[in-house]
Amino acid sequence: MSRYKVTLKPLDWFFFGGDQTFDNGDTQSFIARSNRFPQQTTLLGMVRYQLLKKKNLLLSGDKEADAAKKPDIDALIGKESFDIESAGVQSFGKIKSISPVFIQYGERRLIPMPLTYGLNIGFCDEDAWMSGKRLSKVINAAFEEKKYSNYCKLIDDKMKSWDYEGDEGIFSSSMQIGITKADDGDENDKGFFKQETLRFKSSDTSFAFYLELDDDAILKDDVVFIGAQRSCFKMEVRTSDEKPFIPDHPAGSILLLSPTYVANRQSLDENCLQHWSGTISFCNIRQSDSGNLRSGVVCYHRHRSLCTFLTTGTVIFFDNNQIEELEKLLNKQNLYNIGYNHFSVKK
Amino acid sequence: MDTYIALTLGPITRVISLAQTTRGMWAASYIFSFLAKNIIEPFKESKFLLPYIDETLFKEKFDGAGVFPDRYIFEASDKDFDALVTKVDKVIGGLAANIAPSKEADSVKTMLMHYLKIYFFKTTRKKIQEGSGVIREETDSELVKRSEMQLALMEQQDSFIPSVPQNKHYLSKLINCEKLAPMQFLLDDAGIGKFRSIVNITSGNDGYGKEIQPETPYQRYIAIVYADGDSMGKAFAKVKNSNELSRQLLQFNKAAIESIKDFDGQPVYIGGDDLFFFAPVYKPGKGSIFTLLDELDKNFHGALGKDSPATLSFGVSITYYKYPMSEAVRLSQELLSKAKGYGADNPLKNNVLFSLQKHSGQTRSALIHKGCTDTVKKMNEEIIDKYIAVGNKDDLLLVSSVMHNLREHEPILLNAISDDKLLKNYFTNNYNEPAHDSFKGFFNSVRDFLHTSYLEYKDRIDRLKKSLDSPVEGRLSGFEAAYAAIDLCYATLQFIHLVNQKK
Repeated sequence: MSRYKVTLKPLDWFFFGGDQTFDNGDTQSFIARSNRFPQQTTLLGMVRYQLLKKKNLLLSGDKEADAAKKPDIDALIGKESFDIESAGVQSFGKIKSISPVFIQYGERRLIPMPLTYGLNIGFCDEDAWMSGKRLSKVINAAFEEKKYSNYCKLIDDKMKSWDYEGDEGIFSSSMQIGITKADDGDENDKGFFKQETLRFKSSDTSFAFYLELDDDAILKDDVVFIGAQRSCFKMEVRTSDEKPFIPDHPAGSILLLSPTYVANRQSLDENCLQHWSGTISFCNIRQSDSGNLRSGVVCYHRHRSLCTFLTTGTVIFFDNNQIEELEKLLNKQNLYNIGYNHFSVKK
Repeated sequence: MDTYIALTLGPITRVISLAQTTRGMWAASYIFSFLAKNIIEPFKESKFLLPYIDETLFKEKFDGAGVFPDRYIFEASDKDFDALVTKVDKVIGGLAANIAPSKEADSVKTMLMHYLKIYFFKTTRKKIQEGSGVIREETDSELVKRSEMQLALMEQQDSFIPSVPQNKHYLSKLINCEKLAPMQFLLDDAGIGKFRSIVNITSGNDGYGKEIQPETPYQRYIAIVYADGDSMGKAFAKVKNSNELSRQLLQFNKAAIESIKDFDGQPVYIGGDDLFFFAPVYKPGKGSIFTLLDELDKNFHGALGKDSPATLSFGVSITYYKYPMSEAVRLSQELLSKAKGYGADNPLKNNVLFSLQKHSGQTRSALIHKGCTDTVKKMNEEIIDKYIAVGNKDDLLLVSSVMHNLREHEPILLNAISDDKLLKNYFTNNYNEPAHDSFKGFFNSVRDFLHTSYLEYKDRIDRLKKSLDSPVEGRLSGFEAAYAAIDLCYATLQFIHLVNQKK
């Protein structure tokens, strides 16, 4: 198995979508704002595509030729795309793992700042009630609500903080306005949209992640297209034994190092003291081989499921007697393998 | 009793972002007032440290405005904590029954229990050791400050929004329902039959009725205003009786509702030092939206007294009536945040930050430092009141011409603005055609406004620089005062131009 560091340097403005789209699905909206980071499933999809491309296994439209390629495709990248509801651990062929994505700014690596960073967190004994849960302890800290802005910050491996945007920010944004036309060219009353696209302020900045592949899988430098409207990135692939860095977090807490899916919210509440958290919606659109052939062409099912993830930087506080259940709740190998549900425990 | 309960309700901003119409915006905001009212009603005889509670709040109707804020601190007995748990459960269950089909009410209740951030805790008055070694009890203001900080900490635990498909998101469906029936329970509670549509508000029309069309260009624009008190902690510490400030704020709320209604605006939430309302940008006979803001400011200082250190900041977004409502509201909230001086680049409060976004997308924003009283006076009385709603085409062209020249000649004005003589020369040289002769009064007003606002802004910035511990860099050095004065003048003229357009 080989380990690589993959960097994605944007060649222009980019847009990473979330659950809000411009289409006629359940969550149509006039305005869409780009996520700051690509989703892990996007990176997985990009790697799968690139592996197929290098091996000349992309579907060509020739029914017989494509059908003949299928066994090699399955062996190289797996039979189906990521399924958040999968009970077992999915195989993605030669792709063994993808780390959570981060930002490479010069020599520094940046991730979202832990939400409790810079605060001296303790607990005080006070009866409390939070959304149906009774507590006997609550978080305590010298906290100035008006000055708190960890949600808007990143932290680097030298523990320096950075703003997402603003004068000292990493990103700059631009609003694009347009009108979508209906398919038949007629006016579309709901065609108005505004889309926020992003770019890095410095050209010395890129997205990055660590990738583990079987030794016989080939991934080379290339220009790749990811995100909405096929945002263009220059991909570089280098071998690496770099380890992800872990910012400091309070004793008796779990720091989430990636977006984390918890299937059972009630379980989380029952097995922690409190969590200082953000949430983000995620729409898992997956495509699987239906097992059918229609006119000789492989048919696919397309499924869509809406989930809520805890954001990177969330801090979950626990008592020692809760840690075992909590780790069980968060440890999901299928998610972990593609860069979700990574966390650090500090007892 | 020395035990207190502190309670907070949310997530207000998140729910408001679901709304797409003025009615939806009102419903999204009013729901929290409705919940708060029902949750604390059994405790209304208790001693409240925050806010001021009296019987009138439960019995009177306030023209549709929600008046119950999102935070409460009150003296509690031993049994009150459990009673509150039961009450919250019952109120959320009641809300679920109101918004969802009966067979889904239980699951919707569970969803709401997680979606809504209703948090509370029980605390006792702490002992504080002074520097001299004397131990004393926490004062009311100290207890309130500590409890509010605790509530803010608890609010950091985000509601883990269950993954609900849009067609099962009954809260969103309530807020954006096309018919009134689903939200009738809110309308009944507020004592209103309907909520005015956007054009009814911009046209100053009362009632709902058939959709009307805007008759003038300015009726195509709506002002969305958020206001919030500054230095309320200091104000609270200054009063002897913990209830006194809250009582004063209630007095302010009632006066504010009257002022807004008198302007044909529509209050959405008026509670404590927080205001959220829609208003037309201009009302013939009353003046502009800035006149209304000035009146609200007077209401605030009238209720709190001139010795109070508290002030009121405003965020005002003026947008085309077809602009997405949730975006316009979000813009107004952001403007308020900047007006209150959050962040290092504008630490002075007591401001109005407004943004005028035309239908073309062209946006202009400017900051009014309300502490610069001459600037405010000249803006309202010498510029807006005198030249708004003027009659003829030439006047309109003149305003447009001066406005655009401010931009084109900005490098000259940045240097001339500090010297009244140089400014006079600028106007004399640029407006010396015979056609300009009859507008000397207008040029004098603009010149005077530019110079006065520059001087007052510069003084304010210089005082700020002296008061800060570290050197000021970037935006507060150099031409900042000149830029701010020119921006304000430009935005003011653009506002007049908008109102004066015939079509």
